Amino acid sequence: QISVNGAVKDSVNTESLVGVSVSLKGTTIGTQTDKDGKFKISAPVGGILIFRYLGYKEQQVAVQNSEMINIRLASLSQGLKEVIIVSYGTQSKHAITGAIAQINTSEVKDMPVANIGQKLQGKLAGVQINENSGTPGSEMTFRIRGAASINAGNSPLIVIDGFPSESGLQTLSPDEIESVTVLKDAASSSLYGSRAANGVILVTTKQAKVGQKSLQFSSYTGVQSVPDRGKPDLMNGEQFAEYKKEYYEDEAKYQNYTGGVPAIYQNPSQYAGKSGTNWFDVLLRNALSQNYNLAFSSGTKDLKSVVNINYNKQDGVMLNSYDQRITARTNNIYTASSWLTLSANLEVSYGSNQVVPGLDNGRNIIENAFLMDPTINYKNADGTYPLSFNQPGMFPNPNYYLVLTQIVNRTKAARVLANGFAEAKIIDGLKFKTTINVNTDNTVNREFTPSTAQGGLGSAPPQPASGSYSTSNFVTWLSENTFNYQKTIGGKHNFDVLAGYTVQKYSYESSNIVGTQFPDDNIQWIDAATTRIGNVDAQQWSYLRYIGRLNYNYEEKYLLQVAFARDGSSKFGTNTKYGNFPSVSVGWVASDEDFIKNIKPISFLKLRGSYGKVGNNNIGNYSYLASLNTDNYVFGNTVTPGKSLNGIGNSNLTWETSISYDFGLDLELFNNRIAFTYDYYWKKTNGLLYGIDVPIQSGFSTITSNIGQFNFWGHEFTISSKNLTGRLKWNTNFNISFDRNKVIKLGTNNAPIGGYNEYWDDNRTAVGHPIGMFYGYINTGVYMTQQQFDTQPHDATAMVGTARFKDVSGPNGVPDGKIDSYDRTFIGNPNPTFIYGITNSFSYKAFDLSITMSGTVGNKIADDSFQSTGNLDGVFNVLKAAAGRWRSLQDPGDGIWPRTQSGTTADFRNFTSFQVFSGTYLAVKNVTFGYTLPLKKGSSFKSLRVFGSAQNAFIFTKYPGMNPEAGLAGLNGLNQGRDFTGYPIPRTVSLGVNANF
Amino acid sequence: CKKDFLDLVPQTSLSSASFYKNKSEFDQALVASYTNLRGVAFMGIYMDEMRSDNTFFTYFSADRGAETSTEAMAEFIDNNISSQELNSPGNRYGNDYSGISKVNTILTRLPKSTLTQVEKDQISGEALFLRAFYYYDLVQHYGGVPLQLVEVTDVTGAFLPRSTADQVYGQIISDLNTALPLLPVAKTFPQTGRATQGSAKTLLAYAYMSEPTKDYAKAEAALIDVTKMNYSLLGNYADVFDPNNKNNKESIFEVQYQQGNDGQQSDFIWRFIPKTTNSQFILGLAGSNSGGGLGSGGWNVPTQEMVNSYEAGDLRLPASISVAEGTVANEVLTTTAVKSPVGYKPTTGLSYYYFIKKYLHPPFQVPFNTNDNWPVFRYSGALLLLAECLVDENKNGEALPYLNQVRARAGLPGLAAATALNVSNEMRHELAFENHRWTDLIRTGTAIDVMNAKGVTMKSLYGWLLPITFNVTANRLIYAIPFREIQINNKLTQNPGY
Repeated sequence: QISVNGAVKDSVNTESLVGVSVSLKGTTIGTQTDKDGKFKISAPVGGILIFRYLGYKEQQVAVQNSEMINIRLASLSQGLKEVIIVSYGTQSKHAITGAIAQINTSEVKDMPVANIGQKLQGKLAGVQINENSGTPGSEMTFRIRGAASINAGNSPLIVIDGFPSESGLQTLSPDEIESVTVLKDAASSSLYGSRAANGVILVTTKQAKVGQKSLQFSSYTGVQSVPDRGKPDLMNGEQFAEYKKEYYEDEAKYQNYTGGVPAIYQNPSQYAGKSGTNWFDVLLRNALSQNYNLAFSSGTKDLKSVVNINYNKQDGVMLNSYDQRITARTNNIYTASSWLTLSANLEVSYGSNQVVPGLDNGRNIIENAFLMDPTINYKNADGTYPLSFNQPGMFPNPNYYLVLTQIVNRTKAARVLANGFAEAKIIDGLKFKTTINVNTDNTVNREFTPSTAQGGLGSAPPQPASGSYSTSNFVTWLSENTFNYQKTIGGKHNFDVLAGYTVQKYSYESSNIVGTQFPDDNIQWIDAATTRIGNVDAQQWSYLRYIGRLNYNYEEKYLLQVAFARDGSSKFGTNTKYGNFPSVSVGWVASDEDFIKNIKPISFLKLRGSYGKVGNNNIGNYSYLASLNTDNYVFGNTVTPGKSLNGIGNSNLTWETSISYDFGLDLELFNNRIAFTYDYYWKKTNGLLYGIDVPIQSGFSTITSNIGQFNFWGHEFTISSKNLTGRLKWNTNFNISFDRNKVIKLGTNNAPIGGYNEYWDDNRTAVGHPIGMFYGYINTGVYMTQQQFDTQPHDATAMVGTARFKDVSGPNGVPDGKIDSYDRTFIGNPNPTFIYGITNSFSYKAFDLSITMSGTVGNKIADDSFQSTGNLDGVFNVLKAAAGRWRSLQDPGDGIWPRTQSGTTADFRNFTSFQVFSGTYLAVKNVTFGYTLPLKKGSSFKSLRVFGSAQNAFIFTKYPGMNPEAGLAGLNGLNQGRDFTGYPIPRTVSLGVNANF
Repeated sequence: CKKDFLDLVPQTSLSSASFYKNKSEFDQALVASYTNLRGVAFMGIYMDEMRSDNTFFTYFSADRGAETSTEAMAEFIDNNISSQELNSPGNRYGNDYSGISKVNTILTRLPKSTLTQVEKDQISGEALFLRAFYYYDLVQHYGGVPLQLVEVTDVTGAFLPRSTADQVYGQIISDLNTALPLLPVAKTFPQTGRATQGSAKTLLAYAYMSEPTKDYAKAEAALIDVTKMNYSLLGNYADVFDPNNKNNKESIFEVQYQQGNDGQQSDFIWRFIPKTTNSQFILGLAGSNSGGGLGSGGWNVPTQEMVNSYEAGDLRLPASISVAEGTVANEVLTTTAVKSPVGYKPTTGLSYYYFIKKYLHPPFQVPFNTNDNWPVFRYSGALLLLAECLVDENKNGEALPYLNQVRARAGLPGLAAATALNVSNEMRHELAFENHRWTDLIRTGTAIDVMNAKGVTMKSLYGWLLPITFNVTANRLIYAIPFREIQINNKLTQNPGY
């Protein structure tokens, strides 16, 4: 044993590092550096010292003699070593010139969620991820830099291990994912040319590393429940009976109604003290969520291999719903010789899912149920269930408890995702790589609705049972062949050239057999149906792509990247099959310049700029063609075949293109304690793919066409800060994005999109405004007196006591003293002023804690359920506030809720400013608390950690609904911000364990 | 890779590029052009018959949703927004233009095809008749509309402005005159259901008598021609509507339906009977028509005034209308009896509803799946139209035999003189519930008075009718151009009053 002294400094700015752990390998001997970064330790000659420090790369040094050991630790965050996944390869973070954000899943472990998307919420600047629905197995919706298209969607392209596969993120277990990279600007995504307009998400699965040999098991079990906050605040039994009683009294008073108050409502006090049926809660339960993951990996110089097996089951918080998934993945890289590397990744997954159709979004099962009369019970005293209800003045309805619990909708899907490549070194610096990728999916769905659950609003069971059986399958394959040449000239000029050719094809087939007229409910398969009708469909698309990219840098200080893709797609007409997508980006690592090197606080500074063009071809596979529909008729008592065109073809249909600029800055300060990234982008989307509205006098309502222009711009900020680095460590990551957009041009006559109907058509996209603005009347209360009614503008069906609106305009653009369709106007912006996320992580000794929060500010939400919960015709249960409605001049109510007079109530529940709410929220998405158990020497565990985690823990918002992330169309700009009774989002509280053997 | 790797076309359907080549394909395209007739028949129920004095609807208090716009048409409070609701003028407008576009595609592509002249003539004859029929439907309900006469293949072709009503009638008459020599005269009965010279002449007469500057002489000539074809009245009025007698000797043109699983069925009777808990009592088949919405019963309900207006002994009353009697709970009838309206006396303690019986021909196998055709032009209607035309020409004496021929079949004694009023009343009862009454009232210039009178009666019966209802003015004789169309095509102007 000799005594070894030394000092530890930062490798770049040579500042002394305090609190670096120094330990002797294989022993429990260890110490820390002092306030001057110095240490002293006893070690044998030949012993290995390990230096560990948060945020830095671990270093090992062999003890030679008693000389001073001076260590320079390299910071992880700025290191040239940190590798970022980019399109068709990797790049050091140092050399990146585009706007790219990457997150490693080790930063988001232990969240009890089945979808990687949930883990990414609030983590990435410029990436809005919403949980629109709590449906088990549903996908999250993504929107990068406020992307919007009219018809071609705004979902980013998902590329899994280099493969733009079709199965989606939901097939992957988050446990098998190593990192997720988001390519935000056109320059970084342009090699995916025709599909990159909405951004690209690169998902990389875990590979074994050289020298690694591990066996890991992790698991969690959680309980999901729906918080009470935001549930519809409807009347209870007594309140509803009172409301109905008064409804009939008013009908008698004003409408000569002579039928009297129905017996069940004559004495509301009989329901006093009983809350009645809470129809929402009847359909809910606490549900289990569980996940088991086993991973083993081994890495040698020649063969790196990893196997990951995962089982996830999520029971839904609505009755009779679940989603379960088994995935098995193996990734292997074999170094066959000094010039040849082979790889094979294979994932097989099987999922099964039961969710009653029509639960999510719309006046469907959930909403229909909570609109029921609360004085009735879903269950009889003897334990049996009533089949149907028919309350006075209300629609006949089934028992939604039976509807939800009895309908079968089983989906089973088997999926395969496989990639393989061979990479050969031809000469020094020149490599050829060929990859083959295959993704297939076989889905089988069986539905059965028994006679006792058949029906809905207005149609009560029993009615004959019905069922269906459908299958679908697709296969897509991709072959990519690329040459890559890397060369350094004169030690300073670094070149990296990529050229390639790729081919992808997709084929889809489906069949569907619908069975009706079942004699009974005994056999739930369509064999038993008297009538069976079947249909099939087949779809294909194909791509041919040529790609090229040149990276050049001078001393890794002046950076240049030029990329080009030429894409051909089967989705377009002969004249326009091909599109060109060029991009260029530059970077300057200013901190490598001497005049900045001397500014001590700055550890890294880079300026970036990019320009590029990308496209969107996300339209129907044959949209450029008008095809023929079957359109039969009867002649001479015989069905005679007929055919008619289904649209107007457009042989000039072509790519929707986006041209974008990005200016960015990466700055690291104070020894990398603070890292800051800023980006400004400006993007113009042209030739939007859209079925533009044409006059119906053409025989059709739309022609798929390239029209119009949207502009997007915004600012993104990301700050990572190591607030405390001592025994108590505290890191904060904060990001905030300001995204703006404006409609510059639309189709012929700039006819606006959407907002034509008076309800459930809330968004209007019009020139000069942001995309998807809410459009409706401005509600100004109630005509409280005859004098008000006589002197203020009103519409044809209005009278004293009905809802009042602002006279915005008339046919000539000026207020005309009448309320009519010209008075609809823009009444709210569903686009957020900004979105943000903040993650704080703490560790102290063996304890760790992380809190992830995210939110939006300034966006509006439209409550589409108000069309029903504000319906004053006595046909539905209504909001408690309806008790304050106008009943007479003597009893005029609160001035908000109008009277129940027949024929006048529609105005109030049509889409108006009354249904538009602030959508600002802050959600505590996740809180995870972990404890790493101290292990005795010789334990069979390498490490053992237990944790507790709460997902969707809290939400702070003034929005009265349940989920401010709700959206019946996800984050699709054209129909954003509409909450229409989605499947509720549960809060999940879970316990879990991670074990390394 | 092969050059055609990117050339993918649909495998499960044909595309426009490969279709419209041979006779069989043009035949199929022509068949498809007939299907929009069904939309005209269906929408006429709510927009023509229910807007007239013949019928109204049964108020269902639960159902205050989109169907209120259907009610709005019967109450004359429809507006430009009603046009976007279900089963609305917007629908009728679009449906007619959909039919016109199918015809225009045929007529645009036919000359370039390799079909023989005989084949081309057969196809274009029927196609021109259909285009005239759809334009006639449009001009009657919306006034002068844009005249689309060729296939629309690009955006700009879809933005024509409105033509005048005169121009539209001119096109109708021109199309019919071109079609007439190409169309066959019905010789064998039952007919197939395709357009014939008889259908074209009848439509031509309607057009001459409805256009702004009426041409009675030409209408008379066309109708006289119809009387010289092979049509005759069936002996029994009720037999005319029996699906066993589809396309019979009295039928000039009717919309074809067929029950079964091919999607060709009609379902009128399910909408006409009252909302009932026991549809099997009336229809012989259990099914739900009481949920609300258009797919329910209680629509197109004969008014008491209509029932009263039949002359004593008119055989058409019991053939056209029935009474369902029973107990009502929650505005839904539990039927206990179906009775004849002739001399009907309500039973104490029971409720009753009239309903249209013309389209009731059980047995049915599947709910909302019936075999009944919809009559468009019937020989008796042509005779009465001829009588109307002759009266308009002050040839009342010549009109009388045609009028009395129709009365005789209805079991009514001959009249001594034909007048505008008694011809109109005869037409009301002969063509009751066949979607003619509203446009007949307009043509005879009586719509405003008749409908305001109905309004007075209805408002005295129903307290829920708002004060604004039944304010029938000349503006209300046509509907609003659908709001969507006005917004998209700034060359369109709205009809006055909307």
